[in-house]
Amino acid sequence: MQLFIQTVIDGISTGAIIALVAVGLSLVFRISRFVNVAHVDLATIGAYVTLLFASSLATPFPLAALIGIAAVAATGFGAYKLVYRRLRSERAITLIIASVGVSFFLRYLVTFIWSSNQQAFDLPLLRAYRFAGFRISPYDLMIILATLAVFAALHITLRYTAFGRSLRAVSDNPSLARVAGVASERVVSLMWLIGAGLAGLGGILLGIKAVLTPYLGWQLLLPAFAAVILGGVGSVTGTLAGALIIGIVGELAAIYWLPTYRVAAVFAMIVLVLLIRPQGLFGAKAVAK
Amino acid sequence: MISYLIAIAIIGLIYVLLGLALNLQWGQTGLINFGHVASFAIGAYTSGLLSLTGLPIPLAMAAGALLAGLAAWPLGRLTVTLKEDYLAITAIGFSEVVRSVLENEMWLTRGPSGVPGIPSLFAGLPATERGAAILAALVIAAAIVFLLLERLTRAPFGRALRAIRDNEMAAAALGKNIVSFKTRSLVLGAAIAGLAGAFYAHYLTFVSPEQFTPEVTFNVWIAVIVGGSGSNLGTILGTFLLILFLEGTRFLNDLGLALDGSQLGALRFMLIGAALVLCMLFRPSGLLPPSTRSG
Repeated sequence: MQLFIQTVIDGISTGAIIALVAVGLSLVFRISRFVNVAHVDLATIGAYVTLLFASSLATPFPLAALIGIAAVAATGFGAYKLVYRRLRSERAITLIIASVGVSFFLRYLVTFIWSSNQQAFDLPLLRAYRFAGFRISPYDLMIILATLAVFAALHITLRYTAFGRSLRAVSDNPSLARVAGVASERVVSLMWLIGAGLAGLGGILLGIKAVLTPYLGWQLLLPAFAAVILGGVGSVTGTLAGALIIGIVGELAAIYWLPTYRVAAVFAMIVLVLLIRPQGLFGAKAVAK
Repeated sequence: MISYLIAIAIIGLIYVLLGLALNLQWGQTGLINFGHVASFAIGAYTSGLLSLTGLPIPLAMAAGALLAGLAAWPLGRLTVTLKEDYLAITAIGFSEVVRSVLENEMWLTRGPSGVPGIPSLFAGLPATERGAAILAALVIAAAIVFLLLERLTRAPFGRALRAIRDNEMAAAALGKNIVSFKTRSLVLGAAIAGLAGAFYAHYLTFVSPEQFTPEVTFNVWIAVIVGGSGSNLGTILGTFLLILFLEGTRFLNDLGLALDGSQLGALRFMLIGAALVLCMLFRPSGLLPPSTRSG
């Protein structure tokens, strides 16, 4: 029981990272209507740019992380402007293949610059907090709290601001939104910036927990996709819930089965959701068909 | 030099088989199979391991193709009714799971170190003749697959696949069983990829998990897309260009680029990624698009 609860705590911290990456994937899926495979590679870029500034240029870590996030937001936005925006009237198939191309380009750009060797952030080791016999590292606690804060802000933004209303209008019916005078281009651009930035944050947080390799983000593709379909496409709170479930399931599989079968557990979750509730646990609309 | 050329031609023809298989699934049917390498791996491991137990190689290869096809069946049943994105990602998941099974199930696959000592095709011949004989067998196999697929393209089955690809709803309204057609296309393609894997195993006489990474899948994708999705001849042309590119870039350093091996590999995949994007932006139908009659 002790081990079980400890594993669940670790799973929540992993799930928080998955959520940060998944939310952008979900928003793009909802608004631009394709799975942007390259989205997860943005997380990798975030981690490596942060590493560059924090280690080589001796920038304080929080500042380096902000630079990393900004770099990712710029990269994601650039990919949108250069590639996806030009293809927006094409079928989803065309966009998803293009996104694989972008994904390859970005991942191997990282390999080209930083090599495929494992690297790590140079962060101090902190003693774990203990309560009631359980341990949680300050970094995990920070990851969880930061993610909750981000999702609270995101939820409020989407629900109560003009941007959020416009975004929902564009996602429900793009042409109607345009007729109604919603500046859809600006809204969509902002959505890409936010989604990419959050993926960058997710990559940096993952880099705190794990080693950096060019596959850092790629490993998140399946968990993030699983979180999106589990939570229901386009639902921000659903994505968070889905990601936490995926994080916990993956961590349990790693402990009770084999560490490398985390991917198999996540895959099994995807299969289950597609079989039983393709619209997601929290999604109401039949978006899967 | 001659054995180098034979080696490249063998790998090239294995890629041709993989490309023809993907062209059936993607080019003809519109299925985004991003897990192609899984069928390749299943074919290679099945055939290799079975022949190690003493099964004659041709039977082992047939078993490899069969199992690769069977393994794709549940994937097809699960995803072909969903939006195309779901198949794409689920197929990636499928191939990652297959690879992690290869890495972990030591009792079956011997784990990360791989399976050495797989019986070679035409093992009785000296090295160069052996290569030439394997090449000849592959030429025959690829020709048979090519003719079979060309026939299929013109047969009612092929027309139904393209109808589904171009307008699923209309095809359904005409009474075509979409799920059945798509699943059969996926399974047949997977079996062909499995056959390619079997040739690979009995040519190299060694298989290991790191030979079956997602990069293989996307090498095949770029070959099919550049060549012309939907056209079997285009796929062969695309494969030829891919091999030319992969082999040609080995000599980039001779041009004065001082890159180490891993940087060169990375640059190669950056170019493949960029090529995929550029194809989608400027020439989605490829160099040799299918003629209007068959497309």
